[in-house]
Amino acid sequence: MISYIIKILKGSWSLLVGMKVTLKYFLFEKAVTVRYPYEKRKVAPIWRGTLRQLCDDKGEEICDGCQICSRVCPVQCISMEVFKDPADNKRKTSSYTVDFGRCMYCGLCVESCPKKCLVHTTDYAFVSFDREGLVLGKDKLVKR
Amino acid sequence: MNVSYGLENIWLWFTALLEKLFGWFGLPYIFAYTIEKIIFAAALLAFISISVLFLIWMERKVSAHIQSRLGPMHVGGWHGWAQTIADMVKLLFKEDIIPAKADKWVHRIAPIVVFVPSLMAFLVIPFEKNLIGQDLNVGILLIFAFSSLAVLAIIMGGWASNNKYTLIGGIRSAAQMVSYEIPLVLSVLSVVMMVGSLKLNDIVEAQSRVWFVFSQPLAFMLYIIAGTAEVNRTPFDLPEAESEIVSGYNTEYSGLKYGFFMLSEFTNMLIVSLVAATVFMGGWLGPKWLPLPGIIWLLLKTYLIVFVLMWVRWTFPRLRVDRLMDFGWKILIPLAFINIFITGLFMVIFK
Amino acid sequence: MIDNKLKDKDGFETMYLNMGPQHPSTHGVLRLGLVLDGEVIVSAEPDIGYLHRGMEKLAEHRTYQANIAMSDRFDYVTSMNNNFVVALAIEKLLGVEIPKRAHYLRILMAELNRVVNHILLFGFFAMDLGATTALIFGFREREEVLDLFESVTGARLTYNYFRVGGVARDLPEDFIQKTGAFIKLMRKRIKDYDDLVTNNVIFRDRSVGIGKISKEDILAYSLSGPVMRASGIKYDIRKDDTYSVYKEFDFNIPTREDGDCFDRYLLRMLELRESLKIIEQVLVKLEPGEIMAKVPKVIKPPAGEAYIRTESPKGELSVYLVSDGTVNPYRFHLRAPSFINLQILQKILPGVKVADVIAILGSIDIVLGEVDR
Repeated sequence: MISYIIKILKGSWSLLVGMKVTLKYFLFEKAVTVRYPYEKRKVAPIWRGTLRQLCDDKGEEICDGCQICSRVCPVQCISMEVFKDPADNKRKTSSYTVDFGRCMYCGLCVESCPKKCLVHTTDYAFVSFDREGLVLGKDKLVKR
Repeated sequence: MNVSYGLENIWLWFTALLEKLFGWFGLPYIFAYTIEKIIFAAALLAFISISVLFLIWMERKVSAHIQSRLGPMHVGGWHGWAQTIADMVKLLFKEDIIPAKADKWVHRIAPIVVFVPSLMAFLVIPFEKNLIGQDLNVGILLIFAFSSLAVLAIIMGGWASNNKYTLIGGIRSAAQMVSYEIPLVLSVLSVVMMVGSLKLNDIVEAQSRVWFVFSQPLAFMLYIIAGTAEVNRTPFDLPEAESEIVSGYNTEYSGLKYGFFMLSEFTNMLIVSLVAATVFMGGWLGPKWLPLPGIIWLLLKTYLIVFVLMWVRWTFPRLRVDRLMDFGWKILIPLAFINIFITGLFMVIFK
Repeated sequence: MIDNKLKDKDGFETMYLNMGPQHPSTHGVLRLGLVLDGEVIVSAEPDIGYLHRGMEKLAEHRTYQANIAMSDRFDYVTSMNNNFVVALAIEKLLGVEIPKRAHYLRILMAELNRVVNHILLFGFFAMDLGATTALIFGFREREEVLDLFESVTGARLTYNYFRVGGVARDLPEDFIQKTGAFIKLMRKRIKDYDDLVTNNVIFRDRSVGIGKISKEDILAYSLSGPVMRASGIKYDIRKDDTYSVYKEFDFNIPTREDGDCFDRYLLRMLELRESLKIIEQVLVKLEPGEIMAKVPKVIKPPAGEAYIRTESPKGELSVYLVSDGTVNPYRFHLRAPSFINLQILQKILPGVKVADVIAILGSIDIVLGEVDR
């Protein structure tokens, strides 16, 4: 009988302790969430967002079409066509497309780029209404 | 008594006017009486709907702040006050689905059956001394009688949906309601013994010196626990245990019918809190030095209890079904009987 | 397939209940075929495969480095630990030695990920028992670690941080200080966890004595990880078959005796504290240095095979890797702890109640991404 009462009292006490915790959070703790479209949290500078190609100071593409990025990609989402420019006898890309519907943002392409011209942006909200919209060509990818 | 400040004066003045008006036209009193009651019922319905909308919003806000979140913030501007209205509008426009193999009529009727009794219970609650639907002399019994009808609708909904989860939910609900009705009524019984009347106004007036929370703390605790079980809230939300049986008895409901189940749930919570405020915390009585209308005191006390119920809900895990029965029969009911026994003993000694 | 006509012990008809694949708390797309006698389970059969992506086969068509990127997706809660085991296996094939700092960074990340897993378990297990707030609390602390991971790897879920021969990036400047702050915060939060959930009488009522697994069953079903240690078998691969540089660190292997849901939960809470201890030690030991060993650009391990086992937060996570000397592995096999721990369900579910099924499932801690692969 006494153990029965002690059990009830102990149980009630543990419940009260639990309620103390929630009351503490209710009264004193600030909300940790942000109201997304109005406030945005800053992502890390090395955030692996959508890909972009950099240009040099004169606005020329740095990429020389070495195809390492497309070969290292685990999901084969990078494709390019390469030609030799007769003007300066350099290898260049005539087309460079990334299918972001396939891309898994692993960052291996950026890491392997020998010219360091392929970079991640900090953009994390890349959306499209259809699958074609996720395939970006040179016009969108190259950042001048 | 601070009744002279109350909302009831307006109401009494209005009814007197109405009766006089009907008297001039030579119409019998019964017409005036009927119209009075209809107006009162309409006002009550408006009060209930607004309260329920507010309660849902409050529930979301309380849970959000307990969990370090913000809760609804957008709809309506200030802290998302219009969120529940938007949700209700959404529910109105949703497709009403009846499962192919459901028992169609029972499935349709269940949401109405669940909502009507919870409305009926408001009939006898005194918002102020004279601001009451009908001051019946079986007042408190009527409330319990009607609130126990809700289980019928839950079983109906659970059975008619022809889904195994809803069936389990409905049956669990039946078992739970049957076992928790008893401590609920027994806990109030000790108060009724002290007052000597089932009339809620008598119970309120008996507390003009000391609230029954202080003279009957055990009864109050038992009432709150059994009441939580009665309205299916955590830790007793087994009929709709989300993580076990999806959504329990209302799994197959959508649209307005689901809305009715949800409304009735919050209406029941309001009733349990109103009764607790009336029976244990002095109802419309307030301190003499602060002359506010009685209804404000009542609502303040009610919302205090509502807050406690929400606070409990967002703190505790859920009981298991057999432990629930154990708890009800082995702890609550014996305690309720002990409480009645002690109350009786004191009454005999100090009479 | 379960016999639908099973009778209960009194000879009455039973009810067949499909729990899942769409159910709020089967932790993904697990289907449990339950035969019920009222609320009591008569027999149960887990049905898996709804999330099958053929990863072991896919691995045969990917380069070794790409396989590490893919391993993020096995058990998406503990990506770092998956990275770890695949990287170790490839390095064993290649026979490279990785620099000290890389070792420490790997252990740091793996242990942080263990913390994430156990926090999530706290949340999910409490949620399975109906305590919603605990879930949000768990996720809140998880975000802190994810912020740390984000500052190192640039991603919040699929980190792809490990490389063959080291790790991808060095730590940012304020990482050590931030991690220290997190450990401090976490120790404070664990107290709240205990007050809110562990000591709660309803929680204990729901979990103590539920779903007991005996030592014999543990060995017979080859369960591993916290599930095994909760039944009283003191075995942790980090200590008993040590890999990387775990032997440099001082930590205990907590064990519990009963092997019920509560013990499995509590064991994780104890392990959480041990992991915090390891992280603290790593932070002290970290010294500047190389983070990558010299490995060829194109990884072509010599023909051969490697078997590496590690202690993932879910249990013994092992990889069997066969190389035929080309750039792709010849065979890639994963011993997924969730998958093997899941088998015990069929044995311990009969006789418990529907509500306990969820508790047991939650305490075994499965991730369907790893079960189905």
